[in-house]
Amino acid sequence: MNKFWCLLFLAVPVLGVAAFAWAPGAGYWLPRDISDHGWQIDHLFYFVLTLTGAVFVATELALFWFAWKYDGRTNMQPVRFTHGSHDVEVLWTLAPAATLVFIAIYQMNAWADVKMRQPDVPVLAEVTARQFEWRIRYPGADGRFDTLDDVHVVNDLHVPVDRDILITLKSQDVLHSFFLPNLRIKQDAVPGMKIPVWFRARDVGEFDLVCAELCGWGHYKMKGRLTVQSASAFQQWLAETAAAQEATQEPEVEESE
Amino acid sequence: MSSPAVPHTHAGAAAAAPAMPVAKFLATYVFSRDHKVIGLQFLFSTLLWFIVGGLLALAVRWQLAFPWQGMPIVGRLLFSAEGNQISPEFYTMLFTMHATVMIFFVIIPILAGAFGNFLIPLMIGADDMAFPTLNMLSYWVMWPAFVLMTISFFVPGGASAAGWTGYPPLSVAHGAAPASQAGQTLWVLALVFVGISSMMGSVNYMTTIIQMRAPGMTMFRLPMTIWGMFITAVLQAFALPVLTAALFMQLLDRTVRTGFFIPEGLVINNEGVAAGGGQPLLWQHLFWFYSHPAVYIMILPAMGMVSDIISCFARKPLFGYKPMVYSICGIAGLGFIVWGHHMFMSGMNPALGAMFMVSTIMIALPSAVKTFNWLATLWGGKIQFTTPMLFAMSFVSMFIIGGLSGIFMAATPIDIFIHDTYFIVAHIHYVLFGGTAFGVFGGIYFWFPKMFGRMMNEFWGKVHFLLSFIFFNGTFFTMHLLGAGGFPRRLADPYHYATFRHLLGMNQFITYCALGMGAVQIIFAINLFYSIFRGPRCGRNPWHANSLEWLAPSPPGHGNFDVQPVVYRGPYEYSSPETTEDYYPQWQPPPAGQGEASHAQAQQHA
Amino acid sequence: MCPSDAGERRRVALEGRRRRAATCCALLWLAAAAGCGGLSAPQFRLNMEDIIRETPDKDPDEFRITGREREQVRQGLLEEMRREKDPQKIEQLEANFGAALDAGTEEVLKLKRDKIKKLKILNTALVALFGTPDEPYVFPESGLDIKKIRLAAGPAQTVNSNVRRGLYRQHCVHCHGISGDGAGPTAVFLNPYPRDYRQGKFKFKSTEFAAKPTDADLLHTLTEGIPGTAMPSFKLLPLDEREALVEYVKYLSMRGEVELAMARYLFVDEEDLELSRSTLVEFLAESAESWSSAAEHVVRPQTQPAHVAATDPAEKARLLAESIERGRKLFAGEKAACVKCHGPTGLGDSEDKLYDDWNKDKDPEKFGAEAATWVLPRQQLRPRNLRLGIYRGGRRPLDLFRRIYTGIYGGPMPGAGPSPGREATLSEEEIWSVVDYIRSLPYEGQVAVPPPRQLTQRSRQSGSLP
Repeated sequence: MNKFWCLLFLAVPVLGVAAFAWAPGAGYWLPRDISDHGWQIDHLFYFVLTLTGAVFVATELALFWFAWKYDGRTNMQPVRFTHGSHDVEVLWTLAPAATLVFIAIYQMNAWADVKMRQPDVPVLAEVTARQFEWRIRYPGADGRFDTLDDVHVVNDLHVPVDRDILITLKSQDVLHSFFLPNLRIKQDAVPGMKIPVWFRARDVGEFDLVCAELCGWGHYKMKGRLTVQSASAFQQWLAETAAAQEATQEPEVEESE
Repeated sequence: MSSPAVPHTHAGAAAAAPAMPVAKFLATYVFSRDHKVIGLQFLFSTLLWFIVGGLLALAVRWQLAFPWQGMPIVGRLLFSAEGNQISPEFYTMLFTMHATVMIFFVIIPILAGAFGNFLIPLMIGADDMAFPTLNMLSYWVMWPAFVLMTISFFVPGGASAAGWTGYPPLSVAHGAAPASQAGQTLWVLALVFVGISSMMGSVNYMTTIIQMRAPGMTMFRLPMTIWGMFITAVLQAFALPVLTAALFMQLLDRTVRTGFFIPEGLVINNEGVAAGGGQPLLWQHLFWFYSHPAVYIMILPAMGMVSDIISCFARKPLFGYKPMVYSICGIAGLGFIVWGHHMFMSGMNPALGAMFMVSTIMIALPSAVKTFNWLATLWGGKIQFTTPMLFAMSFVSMFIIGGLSGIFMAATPIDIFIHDTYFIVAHIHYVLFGGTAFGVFGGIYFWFPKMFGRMMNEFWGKVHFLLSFIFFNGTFFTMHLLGAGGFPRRLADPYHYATFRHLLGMNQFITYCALGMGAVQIIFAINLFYSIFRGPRCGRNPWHANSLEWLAPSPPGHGNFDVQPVVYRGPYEYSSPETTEDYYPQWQPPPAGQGEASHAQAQQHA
Repeated sequence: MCPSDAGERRRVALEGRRRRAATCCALLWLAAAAGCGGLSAPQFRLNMEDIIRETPDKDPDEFRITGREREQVRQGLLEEMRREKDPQKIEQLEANFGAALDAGTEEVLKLKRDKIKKLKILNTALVALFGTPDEPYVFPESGLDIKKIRLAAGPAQTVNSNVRRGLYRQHCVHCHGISGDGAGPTAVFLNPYPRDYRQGKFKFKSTEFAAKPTDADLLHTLTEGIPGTAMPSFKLLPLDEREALVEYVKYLSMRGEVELAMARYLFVDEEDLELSRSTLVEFLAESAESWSSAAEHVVRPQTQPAHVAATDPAEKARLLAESIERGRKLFAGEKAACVKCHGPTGLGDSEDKLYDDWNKDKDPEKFGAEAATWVLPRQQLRPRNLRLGIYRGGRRPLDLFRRIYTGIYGGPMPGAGPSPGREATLSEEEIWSVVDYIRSLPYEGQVAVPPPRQLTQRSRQSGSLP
């Protein structure tokens, strides 16, 4: 029976590694990355995964092996009576310390790219979160916010592809979080603060905009859509939306979608 | 002090004196100032809340596996008009209260309250706590918290639904969350009482450990459990005032509309919010300044208990006792400068985030040292696979996973993606359930003989372990994969999003495992209560362990020890070449002639 | 480890085995108990607060007099005796007390039975006409599309069940309630309350004041949400799902209207309702007609604002400025009287207490203690603050024109255009001017400001960390 318990502990690293090996193929993995900076985050994820994976396997195997080998029923050797070893302690303090310092320094650049090196471009849109929707405002033809020609849309963020996109994030009521899984972007929207968010999308398509900070009972309802489109299609969409907003007569054909 | 063991269990008492006067009964079992009775009161109260918290978690799991399907029992009781499907604000309440109950009513009080109370005087060789009345109060101050929290479920709007972190403005502004009425105020008040209770305990533990050690019990002869409790008490003493202040600020914001956390110009639920000029991030800083150290408050005592159990059943001294002590102290010190890692995405200055990232990554170091030491303790021992040992080993195994997954979150760029996803849910449950709760189970199986003078059933203990272990990993390991898929936490129905739709099947698997895990705890409950009354009786030291509590009778009477214990050595002298036995208790005098020096030393220390 | 000798150990082992068996049985029993218990299907709530204030919550078949009611009758008789001065009569009353009590309770019981009978008829009629939340049904006369309704009705489905159903209970029921009474579990926390569909009154639409909204109007509300309220945008649902929900809203609304009409007929007019197809259709027809004819009542402005037609930018700006100035005067003037509610500054901060139709009659003073039992307590209505740039019914000039032209049905906002029996207060040109003025209000007094300053001002070229 003792061996059974040892095998149970062996199952942890075996099944753990198996789960992580199986998941990407089965579709349970990081969503597709379409951003310019996302590779750095994914790369770091894989890097830390490999490193921690190695430590995980090594320590869990050690646990299993010690349990197996030093099972009191079968181990006939006398107990190694020791209170520890200074050298070993120093070794296994310094080695992880060095690794951890390395990890810390290694990732600084990625962090700075996403959160600190703001591109020098005009603000494309202002996203105001409220319970429970994303109110989005484009500056309109005059390129300025807070004028009559601002273009208002809800839950439907359009951006041009392959451009530096700068967005101002605001909140009207409580905390929200602007999460674009496919762009590896997440930033809380804080009432009373204007927070810049920037990214660059490489592929066109429609992607989810998720609220990732609890914002009340309808938190799950707060779904937006990010449409990445070519610059011309984006301009056209913006112009159409702006025109529709100025309608003084019902359009000829009932707009449906 | 010299009286023989007075049985202190209900069963024993009932047999001894069937017609006990009510007053005496109350004094002995209810308003007792005996640390052991208080410890057991904490134990049973927290186990009761453990059931509540667990059921809340199962309800959360149900919704995630079968969103908007009729929920059994709860749905029929509360939402029959809507076809038994729960409402979204009820869901937010479920996970808020699950976390609140588990953290503030289960883990913190079961470690510090139950085990701290029961073990500290016994393990250091004292006859009771330094301040027995304060000790009793620390338990009874939990009751206002229990009552307030229970009431909060029944007030209009229900219990708190602002997340266990209670972030303003959601928690402060009326109309922002349904429970931002009386429910949230009661939540704040309850936590204030929990804080007062913890503070009373903390002062008591520190004083007791510093002042009341038996002769010869130097600081470096303390068992790791006591070190864990001691550092926890220090952490609580320094961190709790901040939380209490923050809670009072939230209370004022809620009741008299001060504006600590509310900025200008909010429009919530179609109403302007009158107060203004505050900062929501202030709460986050204050809250995490307590709650990050609280994470260590929730694991250090368990680490200590596990160290004791592992050393005992490996029949081998703990490897690297002093490095273990230093790493606990290191965790405590670093624990105060890492709170910002909960706020990487909060809008805090990114440069500050980079600083917190470095400190956070470094806090992995002491944890790594501890893990290596546990493994080295097993190396070359003679391992006995008892139930407590299995739980302790699973603690190590699970803590490795929980610790390593923390590095992902500490790395700020990765945190951009996995922040507030199920990756963090997996991480915290590996640390707090796979870690602390398994450690606590191990502790209960280990010290049960001392608590009740009877053994728990080993067979059912192992069944409980096996099934808990399997279901636990089924539930929470899978969550790492959900997190890698970006699956956000706290969503009542995440499958609205095309990105997460394919994760439903995995969530259903998790829910089945969680239901299994919940059901398995029934085995534990039956084993526990059966053994209290019918378990085989045991002697003073059934595990052949070294530390002082095993010198006292099982269960120990009032005053704990029949004779004043004198300590001659550290608590981990298993398989010492100095004796023929494979253990060498702290209280056993060295053979004549040989130990003169150490005996004299012991007297000197006293 | 404790039981030391072998015999003892064997005894413990045996006992252990027995114990294990018992525990297994207990566990199995618990598991079975937890698994049992089917879930009940929901029903439409009977909602006729205006007409009958108490509906029996018991099964009508088991209906009998309660102790409390008997006590009430007794107290009534005692009161009568107390008031009686003539000793002879008192004696007489005393002698007949038992019989009087029986007669009194019999009377009460009869009234109750009568009420139950009517409720049963009502319920039967409604189920015949509309089915149940899980199994909806519509008469062809209703003009509703059962296919769409089936998509929206029923219990919510999980995404892997491959059945598309239950959209209403997935997205709407929390607020609007299973019967569309705007009293779902979340409703009480919201300001303003969710719409109660049952009266067939909708605020934001393109049609004349009291007309029903068109399908396009409901779809617009569903797609864009109602800014400034808890109604979110459902833009990202596929069009067919949104259309199904629109159909279901119409279905619930129609059902509510028929329910109220029937209840009035049964309980207020005290008529007998014959449960025949023709009678039922008669009740349905009125509501169905109003819905199907909605499109005929769409308001279309005959004129355009002058500045829209202008091509020269300078001319355009001049005309707009003139129009805004004209609008400002009208807004403050007696004729339009906008300032009465919206205030001279347009902040919507007049002192008057306003209520919409759903709250108007809920006067707590009138109802006394009963008011405490309301699911949704009375809620005050606030006139719109026009300086926020939040427009519930849409921000297009056309939407604002319609709001002013038709007024807001169900609320105190009157229409400025003509309506049956009333002359127009403003001409179309004047309404356009007010629209221009209102649209300029959020930006009034604002100087052109540079783009907002950012938190971190670091340009891309500085490659290193600060």
